[in-house]
Amino acid sequence: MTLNLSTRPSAQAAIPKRSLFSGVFSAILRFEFLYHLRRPSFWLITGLFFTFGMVDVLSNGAQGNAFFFINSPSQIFQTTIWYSLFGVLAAAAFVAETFVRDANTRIESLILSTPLCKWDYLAARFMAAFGMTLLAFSGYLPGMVLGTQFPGLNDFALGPLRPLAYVLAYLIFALPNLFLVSALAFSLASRTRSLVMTYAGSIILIMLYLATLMLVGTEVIDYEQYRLWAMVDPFGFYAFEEKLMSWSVHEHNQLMPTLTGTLLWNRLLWLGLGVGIWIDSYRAYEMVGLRSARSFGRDKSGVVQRREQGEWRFVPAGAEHRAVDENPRKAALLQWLHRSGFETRSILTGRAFLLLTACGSISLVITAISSRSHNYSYPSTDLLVHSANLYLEYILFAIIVVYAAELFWRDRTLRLQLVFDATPVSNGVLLLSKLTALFAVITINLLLAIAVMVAYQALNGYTQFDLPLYFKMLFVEHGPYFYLTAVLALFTQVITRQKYAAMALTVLISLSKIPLDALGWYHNLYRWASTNDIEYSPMNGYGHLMTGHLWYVLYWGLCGTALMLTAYIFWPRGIVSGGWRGWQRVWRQAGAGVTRLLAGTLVLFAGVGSWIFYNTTQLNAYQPPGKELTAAEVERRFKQHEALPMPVVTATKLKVELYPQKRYFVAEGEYQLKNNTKIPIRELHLLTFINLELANVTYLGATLREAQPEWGYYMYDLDKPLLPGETQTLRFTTSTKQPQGFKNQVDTDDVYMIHPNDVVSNGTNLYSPFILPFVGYTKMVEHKKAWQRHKLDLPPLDERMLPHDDPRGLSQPMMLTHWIGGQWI
Amino acid sequence: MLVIRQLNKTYVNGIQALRDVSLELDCGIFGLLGPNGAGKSSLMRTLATLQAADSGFVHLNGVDVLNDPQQARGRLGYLPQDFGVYPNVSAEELLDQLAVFKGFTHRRQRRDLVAQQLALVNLYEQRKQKLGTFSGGMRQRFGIAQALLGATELVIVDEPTAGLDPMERIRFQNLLAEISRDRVLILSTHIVEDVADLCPQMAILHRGRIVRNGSPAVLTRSLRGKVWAKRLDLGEPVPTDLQVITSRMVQGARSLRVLSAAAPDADFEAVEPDLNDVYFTALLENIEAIAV
Ligand SMILES: Nc1ncnc2c1ncn2[C@@H]1O[C@H](COP(=O)(O)OP(=O)(O)OP(=O)(O)O)[C@@H](O)[C@H]1O
Ligand SMILES: [Mg+2]
Repeated sequence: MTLNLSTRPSAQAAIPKRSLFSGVFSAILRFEFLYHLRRPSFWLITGLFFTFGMVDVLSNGAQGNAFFFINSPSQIFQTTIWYSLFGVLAAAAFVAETFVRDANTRIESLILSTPLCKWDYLAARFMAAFGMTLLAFSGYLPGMVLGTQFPGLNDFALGPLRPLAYVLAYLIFALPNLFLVSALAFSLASRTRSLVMTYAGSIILIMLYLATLMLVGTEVIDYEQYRLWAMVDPFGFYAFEEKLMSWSVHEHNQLMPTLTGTLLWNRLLWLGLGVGIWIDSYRAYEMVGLRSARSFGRDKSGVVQRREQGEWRFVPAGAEHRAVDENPRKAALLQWLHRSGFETRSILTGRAFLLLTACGSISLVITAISSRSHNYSYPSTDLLVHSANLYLEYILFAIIVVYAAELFWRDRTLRLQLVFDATPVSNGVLLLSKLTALFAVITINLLLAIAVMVAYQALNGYTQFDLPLYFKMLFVEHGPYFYLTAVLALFTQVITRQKYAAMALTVLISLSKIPLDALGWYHNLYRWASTNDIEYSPMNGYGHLMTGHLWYVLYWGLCGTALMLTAYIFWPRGIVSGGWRGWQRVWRQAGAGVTRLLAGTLVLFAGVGSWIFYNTTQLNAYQPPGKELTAAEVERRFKQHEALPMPVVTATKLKVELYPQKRYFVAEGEYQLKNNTKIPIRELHLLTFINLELANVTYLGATLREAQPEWGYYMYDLDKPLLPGETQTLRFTTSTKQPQGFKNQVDTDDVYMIHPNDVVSNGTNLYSPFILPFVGYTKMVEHKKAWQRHKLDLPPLDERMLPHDDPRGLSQPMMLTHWIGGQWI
Repeated sequence: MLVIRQLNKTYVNGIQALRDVSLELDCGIFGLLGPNGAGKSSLMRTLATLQAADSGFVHLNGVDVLNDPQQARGRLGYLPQDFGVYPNVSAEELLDQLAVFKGFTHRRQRRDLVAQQLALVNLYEQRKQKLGTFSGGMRQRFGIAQALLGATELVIVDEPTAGLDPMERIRFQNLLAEISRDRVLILSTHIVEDVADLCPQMAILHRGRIVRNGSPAVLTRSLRGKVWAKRLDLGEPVPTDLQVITSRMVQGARSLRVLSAAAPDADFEAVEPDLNDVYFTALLENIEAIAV
């Protein structure tokens, strides 16, 4: 299984000549390489990184992020660093696996009793495992390069292919970062022989990265301490970002980053630490099977030296040997409770969990501190939770995936599974207790977050502890995602029956939003565990957005239930034979009850899905044409009227009626229009923002010639022309429709979460260009970045700005801006 | 009463582990003998509902073991040949967990049961010790304790005496004899003497096939008058034309036992057959059958 020892007669090896890379060394190296190559994990992880690289480039390239090249050197550097965070998965799959394997398969004592020397045993295997880690990780390189060759990418987003950038990024970031995570994995795995401990160590590295993110500041950057914080980041991301901060787009696209300054020091620090960790672990490693109880406490509880040797006392089967015959459901319930307690305890009392919790609390404090960077506000509950979630999204996610794997595989690696499987306990109890333990871990982490945040508020003298809000934000808004992730992580383990493949699959499904975004597929019905856009506002709470959220949560909850029922049916009991026949057999053996339950769940799932579909595509347009698209269309259709003389608005009167509960408004307005041009005005054009309805237009002697409500363009003929210098009154009513049902996403590509014309129950914010008509065609519709105009098939703007004294410019208003904000009723 | 009919099992790697295995077992200890890789563990796992068979059926007191495994699991106890434990959990705690799995959901009842069961295998005093610190034999005894948990109708123990010291082995065998009075107990082993001493009924499994089945005494008796022994001096060649049952070194000389209807030559003397002869002749025939 591990080493082919028969090739080494031990007599010869008594005192081997020491050379660093002896024959034994290379034999071990070869064996290890072949061993890893045979495992599906290697191919899966390589595939994962390949997909990462390609899909990432494609999604960036299809969207086109302003004028930034997706393959500029700085972009390549950034992505390489970002991927190296996921290198943790590869390091665990190869390096940690290597050093835990022999202990788990109990071949260790066989190997350690041979005269194999420490260097050959440890260094050769580390080299092989690290080599595999690099190899699998490098899958992103061909992926990225291939991605840039795809047809249909935005022209503005593609620079020339610069191989040197890939090489440098690999040398400066991929290599040291992977060495660091591999050295850490080696250190932890060889000391503790525990995969979970190793993962915990890797997760703590990622915590450091996130801590740097928080310390540097998410919204407002802390320039004074930047260098210090940048050193804390093991992956070197912020040390690198420092270089880019002052770069223009052009520099971003052209310059090759250099290894100087903070970046150099950061790299030296962490590479040095990696080497130090490696050497220390190498030294500390004892070539004996049972290490002295030095490292982690010694436990003498219950040890008893035997005194007398009695006969084995057999008591004939009495009443106490018969399990109490009770309702099997009740028995299963009690078994589930007992087993869940056992599973949960086994996690909570593990060293890995203590370590994760301790470091997690520190990280949470750091995220709390970082929330100050949001507008320098008080540490209000919503801001704190918002920051904490940035952290939870990574760390709690990783914790869930790791513990799902551990829970599923622990009894199998310990070879205890068959003992359990021969007892009459139901598969459901075994499966559900693992899920319950995962749920407990999630709940504890969320509660920990609350405790840390409340303590932080108390320390800062902020005493408006809003516990209900904490629970609502963490458990209702963000919680479902984590609980569903637990379901997914367990489901993939049960179905694939491959530890690392299942972990990779869970990560892949969770990240599938990235390629879906690239394809422009935004519907949350097929984006795993996503709900409609929802954001807490201190004024309006969650408002009407909660309704949609709850429907989506119900939808995904049913999906999770179906996954768990499937996992229950296909739960591997005993020694399962793979292959199609094995699966068929299990399906046939599943009772009619559970298959009926599954069918029922699927029907409900489809029902809720249809209701969401109806709300988000029938009642409300799914992906309504955004502001940019509409503006582009207005430009195409109505730019011809730009040269027509139009009056300007010299005074506005407005009476706005808000209906906060029904979420719409009606505005009655009055413009004073004045002809500032030198020619009589014979027609009047009005242009409204999307989704705005215009009615009751009254203007003495005006008749509607043409209306295109779809684009908000209305043309009136004037009986009596408006002469130069003359003033007239225009009256109109604008309104929005009362919204029905809920939407898939907020329909704005304007400012994040600011909904134009949205009337909410408290804190409505209306912006005059969105609620009042423009007079005449306005150049505002043309204001767009060059790459956006290109994307929308519009000609480039020939004149960017008129001279200050150009009469055309002077005759046009810049824009209409009156804020109407505040609170009603 | 356990009835096994025409059981077949082929692993996905093509190894045929069970071929048309049919047996009928009454209460009492049933010994299963066979060389390494004969299929003993495969048969036991199948009986313990832990792996599916390709064809055949198994009935335990009216319960269809293969098609209604959940029913069967409530009636059987199983000790795998190779099993592990939670290293950081005490014997008492893990046994408690297993008792829950076997349906003992009442705390008080379970506590007594677990204590009794640990006392049964002489582990009561070490009940609070972490399983990770148990010796091999202690762990084996823990395994036995869990297999005997509850009111089992069928107990399957796969090489249970491996790792027990001679004293514990005798105690264990006494225990087996006692508990098998009212249930079927299947025991696999490589130690022929154990079967001879302990088992009223036995079978020999070879390459997935039952090659002998019956009571040890009857099987042994059937060889009466056919086993001949001779001591060869060192260097003397082993005759090739004879059916050699065993040829082993005993105190510097080679002791030969052969199977023959009549005395092969004057140097051989007739000996009383034992179960070892039954075992080895069974394998012998089978090898020939396959060779033909
Ligand atoms: N899970 C498996 N997959 C494939 N082949 C297997 C599996 N388990 C056992 N075998 C094969 O089936 C045959 C019978 O194995 P089994 O373990 O039943 O033998 P055994 O009689 O218990 O041997 P031993 O005395 O060594 O324990 C062997 O050839 C073995 O290689
Ligand atoms: Mg076996």
